[in-house]
Amino acid sequence: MRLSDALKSAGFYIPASCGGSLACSTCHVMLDAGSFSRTAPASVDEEDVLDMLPQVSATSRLSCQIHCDESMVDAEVRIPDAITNLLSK
Amino acid sequence: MSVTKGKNIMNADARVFDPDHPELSYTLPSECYYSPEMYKQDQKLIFECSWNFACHISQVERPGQYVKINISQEEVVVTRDKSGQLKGYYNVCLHRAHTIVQDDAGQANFFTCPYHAWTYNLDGTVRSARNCENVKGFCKDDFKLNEVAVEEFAGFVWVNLDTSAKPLRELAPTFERKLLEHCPDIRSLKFAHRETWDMNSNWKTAIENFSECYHCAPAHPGFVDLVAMPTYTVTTHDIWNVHVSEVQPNTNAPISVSTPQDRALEYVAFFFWPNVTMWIMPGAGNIGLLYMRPTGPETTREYFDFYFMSEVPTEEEKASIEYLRDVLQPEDIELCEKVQKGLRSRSYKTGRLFVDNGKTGISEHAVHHFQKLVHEAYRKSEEVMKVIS
Repeated sequence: MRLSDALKSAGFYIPASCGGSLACSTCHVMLDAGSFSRTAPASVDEEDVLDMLPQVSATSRLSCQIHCDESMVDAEVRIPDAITNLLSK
Repeated sequence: MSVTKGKNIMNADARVFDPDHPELSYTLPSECYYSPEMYKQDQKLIFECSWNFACHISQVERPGQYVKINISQEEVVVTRDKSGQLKGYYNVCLHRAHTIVQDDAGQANFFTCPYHAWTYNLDGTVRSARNCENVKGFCKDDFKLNEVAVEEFAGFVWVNLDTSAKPLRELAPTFERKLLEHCPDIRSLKFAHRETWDMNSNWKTAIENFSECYHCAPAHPGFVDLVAMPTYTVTTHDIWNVHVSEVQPNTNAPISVSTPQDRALEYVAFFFWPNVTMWIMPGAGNIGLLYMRPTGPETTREYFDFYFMSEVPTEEEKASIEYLRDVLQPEDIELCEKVQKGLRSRSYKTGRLFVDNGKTGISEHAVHHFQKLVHEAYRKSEEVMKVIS
């Protein structure tokens, strides 16, 4: 399961409008440092999306690109106050 | 009294445009300026196969910087890919035809179609197409964005829908040298300001108005106090012309000007085929591009883009913008709109061009030169030639 789907299932507002095709950035989250270091690094395409966001941190990721397994059990995930949707730019 | 018979006299009787004899020529027929059919022909025979101004090189300097422009019925996006190569694309998603880029200018790492979220890399290849792995036979490589011709020339970026067009260096071999002579800082300038106007006139009416200063004394009292009219010259070249005049600041001039010691105190304005005029005012490095994009047979959107040494204009540069925005342009727009009304009259078909013997500063030879370029474009269509002959 992708982290974006897990967050949606848990009732959080994660539009993930582009369905994981690295186009919209509406699943942007910030991870705690430990979880960030345990996940596979972002691809160049994901970095390209993150570069275009106004509210980005050192541990920003697109949750649609993160595989959610037992290593994420204690993860702290912060959802940005404002969602940027690159599709509406 | 002897009567000379021949082509010239025949043309004078016929009151037609004469491409070879500017001193005897009449204008192109008024129908060229209001007919919906001729508007379509202008798009097809001129704009769809000429080099159209896109922006200054500084506006697409970095990978992903882009500008969007309209040419005829098309939208085109100009950008620089990650390898630094200049690119121009039709702004149409190859999935279901939605326009891809919505802003007029910006910075992107890739382009996203807002309809179904297809994304394209800066080199035009498909980056992602949602759910494509489940679509039979779909291959991303088959959907690279369609390209137009793009060229850097004289400090600016130009676009041609005709990918087989001759390069601008061949079409206007001496233009860049002449522009650099009057604007040596051209490559260092920065975009500072844009003004736009929607006017009720054909685009050619606006270009022709720019092309002569016969109307300056009666219609632009401020301008003729700024320039020294006896020194005003207009020279025509392949696909461009240039107006040069000394400037004599006086108490009646609409703006005060100061000029670095190594610069001439002069006003210079270029026309560049088909729809661009470039204005260089006295003072530090500067240029303003006033270009006319036709929006209908009798409507035109005018853009005036100002470039200075800094993105923030100085007080003197602001005064120059204000004069052009608040005085000169409104004067010219009113003239063009009233000419357009007259062109519609049943009483008017063609008018006599006033090309004087010395091709002086008040001669209309550059109007003839422009109409000759239009005429050459029209010659590609027999149908159009029937209208204008």
